[in-house]
Amino acid sequence: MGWLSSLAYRNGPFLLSLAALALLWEVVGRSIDLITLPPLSAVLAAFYDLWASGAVTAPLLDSTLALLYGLVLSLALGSLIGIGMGLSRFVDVALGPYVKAGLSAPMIAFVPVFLMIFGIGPATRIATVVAFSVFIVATNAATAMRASDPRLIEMAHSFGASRWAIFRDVRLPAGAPYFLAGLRLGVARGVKGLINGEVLIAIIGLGGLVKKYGTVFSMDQLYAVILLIVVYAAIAVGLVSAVSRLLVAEEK
Amino acid sequence: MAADKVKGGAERPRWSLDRLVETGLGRTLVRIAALLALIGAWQLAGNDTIGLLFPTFGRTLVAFWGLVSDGTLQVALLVTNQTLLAGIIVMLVVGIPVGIMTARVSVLDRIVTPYITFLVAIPVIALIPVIQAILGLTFAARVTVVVLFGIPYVIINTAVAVRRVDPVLTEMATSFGASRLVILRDVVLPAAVPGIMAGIRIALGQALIGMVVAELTIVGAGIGSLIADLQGRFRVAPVLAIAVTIVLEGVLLMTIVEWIERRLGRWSQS
Amino acid sequence: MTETQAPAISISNLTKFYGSPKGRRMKALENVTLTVGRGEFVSIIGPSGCGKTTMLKMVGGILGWDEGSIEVLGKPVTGPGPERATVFQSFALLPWMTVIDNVSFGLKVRGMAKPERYAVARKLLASVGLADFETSYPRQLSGGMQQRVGLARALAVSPQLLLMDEPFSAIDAQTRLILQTDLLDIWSKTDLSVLFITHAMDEAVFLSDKVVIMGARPGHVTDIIDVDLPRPRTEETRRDPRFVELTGFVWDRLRGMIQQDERAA
Ligand SMILES: Nc1ncnc2c1ncn2[C@@H]1O[C@H](COP(=O)(O)OP(=O)(O)OP(=O)(O)O)[C@@H](O)[C@H]1O
Ligand SMILES: [Mg+2]
Repeated sequence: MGWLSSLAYRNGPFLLSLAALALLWEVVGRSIDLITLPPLSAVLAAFYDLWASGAVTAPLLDSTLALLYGLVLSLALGSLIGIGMGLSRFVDVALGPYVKAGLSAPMIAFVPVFLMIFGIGPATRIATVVAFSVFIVATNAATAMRASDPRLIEMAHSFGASRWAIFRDVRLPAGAPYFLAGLRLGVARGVKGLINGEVLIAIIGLGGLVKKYGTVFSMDQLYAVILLIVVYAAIAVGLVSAVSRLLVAEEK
Repeated sequence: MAADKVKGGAERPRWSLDRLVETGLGRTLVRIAALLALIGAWQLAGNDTIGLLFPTFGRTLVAFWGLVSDGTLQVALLVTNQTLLAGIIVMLVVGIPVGIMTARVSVLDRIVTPYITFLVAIPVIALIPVIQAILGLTFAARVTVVVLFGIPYVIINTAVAVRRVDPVLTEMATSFGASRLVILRDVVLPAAVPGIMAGIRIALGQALIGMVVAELTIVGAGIGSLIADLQGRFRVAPVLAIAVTIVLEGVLLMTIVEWIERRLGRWSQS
Repeated sequence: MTETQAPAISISNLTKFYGSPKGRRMKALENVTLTVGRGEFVSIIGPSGCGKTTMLKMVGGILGWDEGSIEVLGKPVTGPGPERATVFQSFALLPWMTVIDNVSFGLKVRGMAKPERYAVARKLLASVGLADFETSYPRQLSGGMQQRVGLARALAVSPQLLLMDEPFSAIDAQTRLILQTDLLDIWSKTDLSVLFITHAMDEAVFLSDKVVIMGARPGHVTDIIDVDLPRPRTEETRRDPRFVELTGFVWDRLRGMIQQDERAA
């Protein structure tokens, strides 16, 4: 049982503190009648109800679809820009400043604009996902293109390899890990963009549920939705991490 | 193909456009041209005929001037930036010491770090209804949002930076009889500065998002109410003008922090 | 040297265990006994992992031990002390401080005011030939110059005992020879005792009064060789047949151990 004791050693303090918090939450929630703090058991019950009643199925599907569309768009657009920047100094000089700005500036400020132009349909959320994820995909795609050893490229040239052959056989394999890292970060950011967009739009998807329960102070259901979103974000990011680990492992 | 090979086995072939950006002047010209092209594309893509379409650059500029000339935008930005400033101060004053302590006290690390990781993984915006329920539509609620967006990155990066300090340096100080406090002050903290600054830069980016989110959800007298008002009157151009202003403010602040980061970290670049 | 004076370092029956993460204990040193007389220059040489650094850290007072005793100038070691100073293999300079601030670091820790400690630091910088580099940063200096700063920093606290852990191993071969003669030069003008760790046999023989050879698993002393080469040692010394003979003898002892190790691995 070596792994068990090492698990207890590493995670023991955290699990203990988590249990203490849960217990405190339950006790305080039961003894004091605060609307902001329903007992933990009520939240878990609401989580189960939400799930069992099918009330979250439609918003969940809706959100996931918007996320997927947004990510595909980001991937296509971001790769295009990033590969261009990685292969050509000219493109890098021309577009680099915008990509860098888009990476760190609060792109979320555009959500109200998207909302006014696209309405409350999926387009607004898709645009938000793209705004959150496209720049990191582009940045990493550019890094990926520059990752290959210049000596290898020279070697390929000396053997008369074509530009395309060099791209496929030298640049792509060397850049794959960076590319996948960009994808992983893009998904993580995209999920946040999605939820941010939905809460700000306040009517649809998972974020819409947050607003719906939040405004009527239906706290047990609200916490249940938050729990759902956390699990959702964790699964989305975890899935991409797992897939990219598989892909990179295969490369080697 | 054959001629290519003869010309230079070692020299990589380049696109002719790449020659343009080899000099500083060339790069400046290309950047100006790119900016003009972007503005031109914006102007062409915009459509000012009906109210709720993507506005042209010209109309957005006019709307911007409209907001600035009567001082509306400045006042709103001032109010909004108070939230940001307060949030950043709390973030640093709390985040850096907590980061140092988690790096040095292993039990604390094992308790605090999972919660921080959690805060990084989840969309903090989902917590806003809870914050609002507890603190109401107040300045404190908005500051809390900004802090929650940014502080995990300050804590994590500070802890990592402190942990990565070369143990030989602390050993050296110990051998001269330095106390734990002196080692922390004269060795560990200075050595961790570049890492801490990197954390602050990332946290600032997040805090800016938090500032906008707080403004739009826990509406006060800042740009949040300005945007809500304009949205109600279906005026896209000024909303776009505000969005671009905020993004530009973000870029400016990030540039300043990056500059400070480079200055403070000069010794670490070999 | 009078009979009543205690030796600079006296190590007896020293044993040290390291705890591994799995909770098992690894014996790093076993029953090490060793004396460094006042003003003596003693080198330790031995295969990688035989516990040389471990022993130096214990003498320096920054690492504890399990059995045996260490006395410095007749007093049991309980921690770092002002009479000892260490020079590190990787220099351990603070990269954000100028050369003069690095050299006066030890004095700052001891609470000396800035003008006084700068005055001391300037004197030492001159003695290691770096008077013109006061305001440089470590990264602007070559490896050899950086270690001169490390040496000046150690000397600045006026120690009686210098502990040096492979100080020249990260420095190119030619510079290294120059640093060796410079070190002897400085040492001969003081009454410093030196405990010097190295992997280079010629370095050990050239510098020392005594070469201690250690074996591994667990670390223990196998031989103590008296170097009877005359001082002052100069470039001539390196061509002295006795120097070649002693270096060859040290190599013979080490080669046997290393070959045994390789067969075991
Ligand atoms: N902090 C530690 N924890 C556990 N084991 C250690 C620790 N430090 C050193 N050791 C082990 O103790 C032994 C002696 O290490 P030490 O660094 O003293 O050797 P060394 O003779 O200085 O080697 P080298 O010539 O490579 O510098 C090695 O087997 C090493 O792995
Ligand atoms: Mg060693």
